[in-house]
Amino acid sequence: MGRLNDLSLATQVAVFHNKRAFDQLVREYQSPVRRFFLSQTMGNESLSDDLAQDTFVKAYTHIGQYHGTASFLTWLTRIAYNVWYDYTRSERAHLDVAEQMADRAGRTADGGTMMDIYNALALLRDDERLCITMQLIDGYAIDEIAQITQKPVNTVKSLLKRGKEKLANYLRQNGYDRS
Amino acid sequence: MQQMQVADDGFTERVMSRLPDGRALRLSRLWTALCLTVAVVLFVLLRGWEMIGYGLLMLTNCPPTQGQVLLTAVSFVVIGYLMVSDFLWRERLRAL
Repeated sequence: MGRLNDLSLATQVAVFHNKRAFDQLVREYQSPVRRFFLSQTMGNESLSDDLAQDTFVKAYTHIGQYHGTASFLTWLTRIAYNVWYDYTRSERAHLDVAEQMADRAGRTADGGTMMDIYNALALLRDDERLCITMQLIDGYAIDEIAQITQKPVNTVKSLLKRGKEKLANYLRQNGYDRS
Repeated sequence: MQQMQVADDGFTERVMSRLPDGRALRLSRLWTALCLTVAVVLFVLLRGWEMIGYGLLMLTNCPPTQGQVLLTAVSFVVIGYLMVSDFLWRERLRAL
């Protein structure tokens, strides 16, 4: 969907509260938003869906603030990032993520490649995982990641470098060496 | 790189059912605008500035009557109600 079309749909939602227009936007962008949360929650589908729903409801109530300077997906991902940031700040979130990591660690024996990737991601710091998944899974450029997370480009670069080193070490130790 | 596509599986319907009612939001804004317009029109028609000036003059010259105290109290109650309801409405929107 083009940026002009997104802007037109967003304007219809903001001015006329046109729910059909918003429905189109949700259908178009549900996949990248849910994928973003799946990466952050390391595959927890129900939690990802709850957070993705919160993201779209927030987008609906604040849609008047979208002016079309960035793509709609970038704007939406910025909201998703804020939702995730708020969630991880809550005590409940820390408990859930810690439990989930322990759960995944205990199930390594049954898992395939996906499980190994999630286990590797679990080793990263929150901000490293965020940058790594946004670049490698969602395909964002470094300047877009910097824009969404509001971090300096050099910080994003160093987070990516450190995160990739940790990932490579983990995967190498678990038999994913190229040689 | 081929990106993983997440199937909708009713997700959009779940989001749409959670959206706040746009009609209620519109009606609330319309009601606020209507009240504000009525207040401005009445202020101009009844020469509100003269009444305020007269009231202030009377207050400085002689103690207020029972009617004036009552009118002032009613005004404060109405303004207070509007401020509290506006605050609650904003909080409700922020919580969404």
